[in-house]
Amino acid sequence: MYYFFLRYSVVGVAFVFAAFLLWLPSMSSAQNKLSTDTVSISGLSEASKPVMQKAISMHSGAQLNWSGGQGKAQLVYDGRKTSRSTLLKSIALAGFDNSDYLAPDEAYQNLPAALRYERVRKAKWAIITNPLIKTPQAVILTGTTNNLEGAPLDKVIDFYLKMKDALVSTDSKAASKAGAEMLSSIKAVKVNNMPVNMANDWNNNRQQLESAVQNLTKEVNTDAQRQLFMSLSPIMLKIAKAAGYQEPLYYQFCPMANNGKGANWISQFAEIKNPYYGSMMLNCGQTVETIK
Amino acid sequence: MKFNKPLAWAASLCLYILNLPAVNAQKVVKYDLYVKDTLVNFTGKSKRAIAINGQIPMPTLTFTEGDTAEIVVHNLLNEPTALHWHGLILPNKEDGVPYLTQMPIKPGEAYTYRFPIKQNGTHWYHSHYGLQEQIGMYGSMILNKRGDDSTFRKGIDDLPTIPLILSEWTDMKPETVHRLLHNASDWFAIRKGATQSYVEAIKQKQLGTKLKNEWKRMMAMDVSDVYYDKFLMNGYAESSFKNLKAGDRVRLRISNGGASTYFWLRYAGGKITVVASDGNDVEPVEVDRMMIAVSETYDVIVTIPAAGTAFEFMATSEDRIRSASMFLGDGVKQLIAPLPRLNYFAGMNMMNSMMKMNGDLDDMGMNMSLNQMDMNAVMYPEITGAVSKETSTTDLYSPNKVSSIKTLNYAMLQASSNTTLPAQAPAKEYKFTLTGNMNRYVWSIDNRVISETEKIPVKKGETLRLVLYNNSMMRHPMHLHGHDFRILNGKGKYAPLKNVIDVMPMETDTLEFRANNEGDWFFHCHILYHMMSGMGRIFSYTDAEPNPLFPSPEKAYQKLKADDRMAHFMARNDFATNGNDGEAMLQNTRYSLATEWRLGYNDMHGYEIETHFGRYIGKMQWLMPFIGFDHRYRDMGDEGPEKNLFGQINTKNKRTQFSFGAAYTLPMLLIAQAEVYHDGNVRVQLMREDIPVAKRMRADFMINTDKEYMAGLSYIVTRNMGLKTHYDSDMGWGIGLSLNY
Repeated sequence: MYYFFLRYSVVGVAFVFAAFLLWLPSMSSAQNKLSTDTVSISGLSEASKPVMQKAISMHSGAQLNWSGGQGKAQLVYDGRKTSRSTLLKSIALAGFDNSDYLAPDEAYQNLPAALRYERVRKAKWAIITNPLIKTPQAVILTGTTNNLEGAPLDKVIDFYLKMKDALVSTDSKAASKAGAEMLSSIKAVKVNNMPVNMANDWNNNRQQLESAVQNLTKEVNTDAQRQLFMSLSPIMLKIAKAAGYQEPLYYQFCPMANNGKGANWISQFAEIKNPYYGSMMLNCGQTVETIK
Repeated sequence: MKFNKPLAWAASLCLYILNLPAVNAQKVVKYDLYVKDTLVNFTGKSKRAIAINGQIPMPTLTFTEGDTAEIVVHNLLNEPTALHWHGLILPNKEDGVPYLTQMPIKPGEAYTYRFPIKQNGTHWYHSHYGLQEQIGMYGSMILNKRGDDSTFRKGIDDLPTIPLILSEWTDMKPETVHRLLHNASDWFAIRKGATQSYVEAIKQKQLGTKLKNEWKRMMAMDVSDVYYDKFLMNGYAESSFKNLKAGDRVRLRISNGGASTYFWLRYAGGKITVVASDGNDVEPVEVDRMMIAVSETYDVIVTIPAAGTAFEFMATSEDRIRSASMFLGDGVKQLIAPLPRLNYFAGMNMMNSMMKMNGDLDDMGMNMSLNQMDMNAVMYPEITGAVSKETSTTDLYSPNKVSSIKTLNYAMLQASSNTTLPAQAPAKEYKFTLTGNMNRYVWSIDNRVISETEKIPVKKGETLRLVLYNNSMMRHPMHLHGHDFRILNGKGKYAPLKNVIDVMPMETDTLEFRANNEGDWFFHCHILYHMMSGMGRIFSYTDAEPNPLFPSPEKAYQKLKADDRMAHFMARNDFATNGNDGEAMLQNTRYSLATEWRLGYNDMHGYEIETHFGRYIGKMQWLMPFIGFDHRYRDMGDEGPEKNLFGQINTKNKRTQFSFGAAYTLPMLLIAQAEVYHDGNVRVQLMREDIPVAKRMRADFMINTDKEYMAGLSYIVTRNMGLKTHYDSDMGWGIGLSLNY
């Protein structure tokens, strides 16, 4: 029995030692030198922050700092253990588009409704028909209505968007020019080819639209143009809804414009490019309605 | 991979090649390949690998149909080698199978392969010597169409192409991988989180499933055997190809150069259009995803749908542990969702219903073929998520029926031109059953490994029809050298041509080909470790010119047979407080030589060594008759000899006895063993080893008619080390450190 206990204690000590050796690597960590990166992430909010933090915390205790700013956050991490790329990939896999990675569709769709955000990039995917695959041809209706003439209001919207883009880049000359083009496109619209509903909407708003655009083209100062553009945009919303534009349009809103009263505009992009402040507050705003 | 970044980068720049019409096709294209040992670092540890011209994968070899290839292999290794040109139809002596079509290229030697390029398409090349393919010896081989080829397809053959070769990496030596597989080690399952232990079963309310599984003598099932540290595309786990803009279409020429990994292929930028397989054109078919079997090639076309964005093309290992990606395009990276983990217990449940008590598989009348049904689909959450309660079981196995995700299968492939064989040729049919024994890692055809069979004679000009039935639990990518075969898939005259066919468990597939290329041709499972275990056959043309490369073809053939005759060694010793306790085993396809020992620390405990030499009988190898030798000694002091259950005087105190007996594997994987010693004493024993209690916890027990009993519990710490506690009727209770090799 004595031998037994002697042996037992020897083996026991060996065990403890072995366990210690196995455990040791996890203990050894020198003083960390942390990197901080500012990154843009879509869908940042009080509610989404913990979800993102959880996605990255498996990477050696990386931290996501966000102080409420629009779309920007800071990543704090140990560059020897992980990387900006790894962290942003994890955030994208959790469903949030960011400056380096776009989330898989499934990940975005799996987000609770409260965490969803307007996706910028996805809207711009081209619908590409595969030339190698023979699909049945779409049936083209030939009737009395001149459908092939297509969308009679598209040109008006095109010039509106051009004007908006000019205001985004604070270019008053280009805005005036787009206004002039828009004016002539308004005059060129022929109601007799339109479906009845579209014609009604157009007739009801045409007057207002024309005078708003006319005023805008006379202004040479961007600030004044922007002020007029604010009143023009809600009218354009009605036109856009009636028009059935070829691509989806986004009715967007910046709460800071118009001295804090807020103002709208229509954009062809889901991504925010604010026409009211130029480069100062380019990304301020959100999509409030999508027109398809 | 640190060692060859500049080289690999240069190579990947060269990858972007346009299929320009060859100006002068009748030319000799020469490559010099320097095969050399190298160190690579894929995981943070430096490990041995083999590189050609300093690269892993080996350089992409490009030819145009009509060229003559001249490839000089300079063997700078300390071991022999040989290169096989996978999918190429060439003279037999250029085929690169050591001991079958040539003698291996000795260390220091240079060897020239020279053959005409008589086909076009995506192919690849790899070492056919030992396990070299696992550690870097694979590369793309692109045979371009001539510009004036009548089969030139506008919108396909004129697209920019990227050769992509898939592979895997493990830090473990391939010899160790091979040995562990043969020793039924569950270390790979532990690394994968696929132990499927009793505790996990109870947690998932699947205890009944687990019990039934062990009742049917199955060990935990998985879709692949080996745990890999990395998966690679052209040598990288992640890479980019930026020189593409929105609207561009690009042709990926994909080869699966993995030694044992099937890959799921998916694309973040939309559908995948398949335009060729194994180097043969097929009518374009659009899918959401596809599986590429080991050693297959596929040509696919993908489109870049948006500007300023790079789209992920992802290859995920079938076990879904890891993946490799290439981002196509420039800009922010559009990811594709990782495939959800497999639901192993659903798979186990499925296997239970398919497995008969005698070890045969029962397809329950489903007539499976051509990968149209995938039994594993029950384990895919992305498919089962779409399944409603009303879905019938049969439909459940047909992923394209129950899910909107369209997966490629062989029935969807249609050749671009008529592939019928001459009708007047005499036809011969062979039925092959693909067989295997997962527990002992024996893989065979008709229960015979290569070394147990003779070559199959073939007459030039005849049509060979092969009917393959897979009665094993794993899928097998069967590859034929030197010929393309037609897969009879319901497309009639337009049956697709391939040289690899993946046969899933319970599937029956029919192939046919014209015997028009003289020589000895290997037909084998392309999972490297299955092939090395002997899963193959050799088709040998009668009255063929003798291969000039062999002084003695028969001697060479014996060398080839040595591959699957190789014995695998394992050993284990438990250094415990109550003694040393261990075993060593040497096993091959049919035989086992095993020694067990128990060494006490004092005379009372004594020592004991038992050795058995046996042969496994039958397809499932449940029965093993053996002869044995038992030597033991102990001094129990005043206590006299004991009697066994049969009343015979026990010789446990001092025994030197020969014996014979048999072991049989019972349901629940219990091993019953009966043994008669030369003095007439009889011993009957019941034991079970490696009961998977929890993920890393194993239990075992033994009881016999000598009134000996033992029970133990061990915890697996690393591949070579565990902690073990056990109680032994002779030695008492002990705790110790268990080391194994």
